Amino acid sequence: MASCIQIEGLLQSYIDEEASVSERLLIEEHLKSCGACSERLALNRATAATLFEVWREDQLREDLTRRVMAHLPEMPPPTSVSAALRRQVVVEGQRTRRWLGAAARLMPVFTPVILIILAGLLWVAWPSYYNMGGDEVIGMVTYCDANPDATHYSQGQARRLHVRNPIMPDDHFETGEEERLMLSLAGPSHITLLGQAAVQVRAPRAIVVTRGDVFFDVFRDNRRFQVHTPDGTITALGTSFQVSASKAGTVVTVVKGEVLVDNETSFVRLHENAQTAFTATERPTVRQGIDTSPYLRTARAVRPDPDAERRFLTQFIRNATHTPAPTEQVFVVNTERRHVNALLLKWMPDPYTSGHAGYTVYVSDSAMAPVFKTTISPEIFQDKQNNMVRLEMPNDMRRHDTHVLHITVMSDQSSGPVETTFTEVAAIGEAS
Amino acid sequence: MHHTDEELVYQCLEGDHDAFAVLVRRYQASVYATAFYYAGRYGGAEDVTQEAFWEAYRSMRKLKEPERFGAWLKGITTRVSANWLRRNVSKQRNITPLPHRRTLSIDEARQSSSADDDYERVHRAIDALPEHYRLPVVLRYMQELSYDEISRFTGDSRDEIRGILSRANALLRDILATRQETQEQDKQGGLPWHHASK
Repeated sequence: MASCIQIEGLLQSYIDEEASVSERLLIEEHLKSCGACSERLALNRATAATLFEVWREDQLREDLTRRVMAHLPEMPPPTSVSAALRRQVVVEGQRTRRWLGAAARLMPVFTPVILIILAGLLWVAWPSYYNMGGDEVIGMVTYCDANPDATHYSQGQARRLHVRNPIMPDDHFETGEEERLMLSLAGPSHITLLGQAAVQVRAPRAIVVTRGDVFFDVFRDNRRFQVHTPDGTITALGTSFQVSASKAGTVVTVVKGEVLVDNETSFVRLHENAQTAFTATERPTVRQGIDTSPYLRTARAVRPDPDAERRFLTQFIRNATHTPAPTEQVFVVNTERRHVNALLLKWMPDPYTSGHAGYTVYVSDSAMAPVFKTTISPEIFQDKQNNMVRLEMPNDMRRHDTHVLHITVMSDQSSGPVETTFTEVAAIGEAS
Repeated sequence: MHHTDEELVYQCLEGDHDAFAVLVRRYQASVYATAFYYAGRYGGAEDVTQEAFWEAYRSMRKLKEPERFGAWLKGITTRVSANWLRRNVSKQRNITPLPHRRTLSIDEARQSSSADDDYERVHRAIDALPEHYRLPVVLRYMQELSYDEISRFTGDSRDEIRGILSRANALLRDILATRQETQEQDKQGGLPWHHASK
């Protein structure tokens, strides 16, 4: 005999006619003998009847199928892969994922290894001068054929010397016989050590020469550039000159510009093509009219390493806050009303192999009316053997009647920041 | 000839509109009851029903288990109902959330009071049921669906539906019986407050 609890669980399905035949029989059998369950059945039936009754109005009677089908939207087209193909893709995807999974599991192992290798490569490849404090570096070695050992002392330590070495304040440089070195300093100025020389770079504009032949190219600047030798001090403003210091004294030869030489007792002012020899106590003796071209030729034979020079230019000139504005150089040529066929412009070769500015030459007559203009390409200045350019006058201007030509040379720094100083302009004409 | 849901779904995917019509006919009662349960009190049951079928047709290719089409359709119906309510009900927030068939005059109210009171009482009773019980009850008593049909649509097994309906009926019986008593007490004491306020 089934229990009342068992029957109670079945009553609802009995009412709903969802009970199986055996359940129905069981219930009917039980109800015959159990008044409580019969009462419960009657109550449940009443509840169900109430519910049916309440909702009878709300029941959906109308068939909505036609309305739904009338406005059926588009089903998006199937993706291009058929079901079979899709299954295959899934399988392959799993395979790939498995392979990637293996790779991902090994990640913790080889990621640090790769990182260590990369760090090592970076450490090896990192240029040494980047490791130095940028503010302290005042220049760069731009040429070196010296023995790399024991010729360079930086901050009290011997360092191997090679091109692109940074120069720090108080660095020492020494060259042996037939060894040459070029130091490019912020400013810019260039110091060429021509064998058996010992130089200390105290600051960009303070150099000590203890021995040897040293050639200086100093950019025109209103700050003093001083070279100290055991015999005295040489002060320069925008010049090129050579200092030869030896036990017998110091010899200064000025190729261009003007320098002031002073020792303990006296001083002397030196102009172009002048030379002085002095010791610490002797009054300097001056020889005028010296042929300085051999000095210049020796110095210009030292060509800076192009890569080092490029780095120097970008680091010390391009970014310098006092980048020189395009300069204008003006010359006046007295033609005495003779016909001029060409102009000859001379300059002094500088130590740079590249990065020169180009020039535009404006030629006007005595009334400042334009005669013609032309340009000088920057490549011309790279040839150190050449120090002049011939500018032909246009044919129709050769008979231009003027007693004076004004020649203005304007730099164009689009090709580089290195300015050239023109020393002389001459007019070439017909013999009168 | 009877096709399973699965067969009909595959036919639909091959572009057979008639197969979808069969599915609509098979499930419209369930969908309508669900829609009525959610949105019926705002008059949205038919709109929601249509939208739910359209949405089902549109996203048929996303159906992963075609043999469980009913349960999937229930999910869509629920979602469409929720969207419909969000779109429409905010505009008519002042409408009472209970189905309203109340007549205006006291006389009419007296005459039809038994049917109307039942209506409100039943809805309140259903709201008092556990969440999980409500939809099977609505499907059973509004659309008079069989246990199998309910189980196909809710995704529960037939035995679960049987248990739910049995327990729900017992609960409803008790709730309605209690309400009946209080109402009878009200009637003895005079008009219920909502009649008096008219």
